[in-house]
Amino acid sequence: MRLLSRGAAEDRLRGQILEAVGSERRSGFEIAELLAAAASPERETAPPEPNTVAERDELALYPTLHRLEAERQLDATWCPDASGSTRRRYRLRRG
Amino acid sequence: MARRIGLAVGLGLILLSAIEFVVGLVLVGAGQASGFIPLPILTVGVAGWLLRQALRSDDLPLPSALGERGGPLPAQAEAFLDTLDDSLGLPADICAEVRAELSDHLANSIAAIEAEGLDRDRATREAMARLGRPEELARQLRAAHQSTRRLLAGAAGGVFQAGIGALWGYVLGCVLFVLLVIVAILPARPVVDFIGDRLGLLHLDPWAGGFGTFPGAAVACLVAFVAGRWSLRALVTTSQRRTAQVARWWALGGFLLLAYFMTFRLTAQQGWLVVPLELLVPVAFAAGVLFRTERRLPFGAGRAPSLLAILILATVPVLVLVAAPRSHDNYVTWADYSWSSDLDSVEQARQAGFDRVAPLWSDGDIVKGFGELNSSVLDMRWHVFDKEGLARFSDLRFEAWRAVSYQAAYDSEDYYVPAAGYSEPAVIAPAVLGYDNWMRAYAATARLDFRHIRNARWTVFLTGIGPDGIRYRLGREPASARIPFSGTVWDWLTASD
Repeated sequence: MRLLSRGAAEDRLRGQILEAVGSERRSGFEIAELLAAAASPERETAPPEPNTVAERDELALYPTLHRLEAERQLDATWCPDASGSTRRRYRLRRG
Repeated sequence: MARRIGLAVGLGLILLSAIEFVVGLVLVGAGQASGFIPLPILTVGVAGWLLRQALRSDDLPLPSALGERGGPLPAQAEAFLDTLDDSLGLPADICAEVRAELSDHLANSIAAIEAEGLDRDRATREAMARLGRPEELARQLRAAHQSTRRLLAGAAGGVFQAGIGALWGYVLGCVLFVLLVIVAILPARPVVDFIGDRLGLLHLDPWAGGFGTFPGAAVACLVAFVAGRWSLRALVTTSQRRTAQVARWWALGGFLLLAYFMTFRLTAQQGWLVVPLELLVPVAFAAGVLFRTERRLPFGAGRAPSLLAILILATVPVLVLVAAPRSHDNYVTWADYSWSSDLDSVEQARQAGFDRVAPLWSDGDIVKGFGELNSSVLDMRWHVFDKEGLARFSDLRFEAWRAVSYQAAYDSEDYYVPAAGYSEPAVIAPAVLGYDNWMRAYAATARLDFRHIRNARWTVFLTGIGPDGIRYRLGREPASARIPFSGTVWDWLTASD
């Protein structure tokens, strides 16, 4: 997936991230997984070819997450998950 | 919950300090309770400390190891993160958070790719490829963090924290000054006097030195230093710029602003003691910004030192009284016309010294007067007893001559004589004759302006040209005035001696 233009692609990614986060607390990796699933649903159901994985461009993910946090659209905190490990998780900002 | 309570109490104290400030202004305006002044300052300081504690982040500490999905990251991934770290250019704590977050992402990503069938080595390469080049990722992360909005917010926060830092600097300065005064007065006094005498400091005129405002100027240097440190920390934290990126500009801006204010705007009692200290204030601010800002000062944080400073603040009202200008010493003596034949030879010699100004008109007592000092302006009012006698004189004027203490007198501090080396008065004002409402009598009045002269001691004579064409001084005793220079630093530097 290649970006058509930086501005349009960034806006689209911002919208996708906000939709993916929803009301749950999600880590950056979890958001990346959701975005990948939404981008190519047919690959999720089809058997993968041996020794290959789907290409993904995650370069803009964390810069966009941090920008959304700076713009106060997302809240981010380090919090433990069920396994006890601490992860930085994002959630839509209330209000 | 504790955070909310801290915020509420802090904001409440700020409101209380505003009320205290208004009440203090009313009391001071009525000439009472100057010791009340530190109370609102203390209240704002405590409020600022509480708000600072309440607004501190309560996030969990960063994970120190991310091994729950199969151990530490491969060496290639660590190298990727090292390159990212080196390229990020953000404050150290932000870099640490970013590294921890991306480390977690890489670990999860590698594990997920391994679960799809690839070996660990290829999974690592694929996970890194998805994130792109570490230099490009660092550049985009830096752009996301260092927005213009954050820079402006950081500047505003820096200004606010400069104010809070100034308050704590004032507390620290007062504590240190009181301790110094106690030490200097008690055990170290003989040493201080010995050194001061050897250096000639004890023989200098303290009234020419701006003695009254010296403690305030000394404390102001420390205030500026602490304000500089606190403001830079706030700027770096909020703007998410590195210290090296912003420190020199912040120091330069603060230096120029303070230099302008201290030199051209601040009006105070000036002198050779005070002016260098005032010019040091912008330097102190810059030093506070540039000197090892990332380390904590002993009193910059920590509850115990802060509480200790608050307790010792009980001495602040005493310090205010010590540091306040001694306005009761800015007086003008009565010009007494009485002449006693019992005056000793010392006094006669002093009186004879006045003849350097003009010979005394000794044919009767014509005038008696005094002066009232308002900052650097002296209002003279001389009661005229003999209107007809005074009418014989023309070109009546008040003359202010530079003076020195008359060393031979018993109380030389209160007796002045015209200083040698001056052949004319420094300030002249024509005398205005008329009914003076304040004195309820016929009087000679004038206003003498000393604002552009650094000299502190003066003798003021009333002179006039007599019927024989010779200028005489009228009144046996001149007025003596001690007038510390009041104005800006620039006024003092450009004033004449």
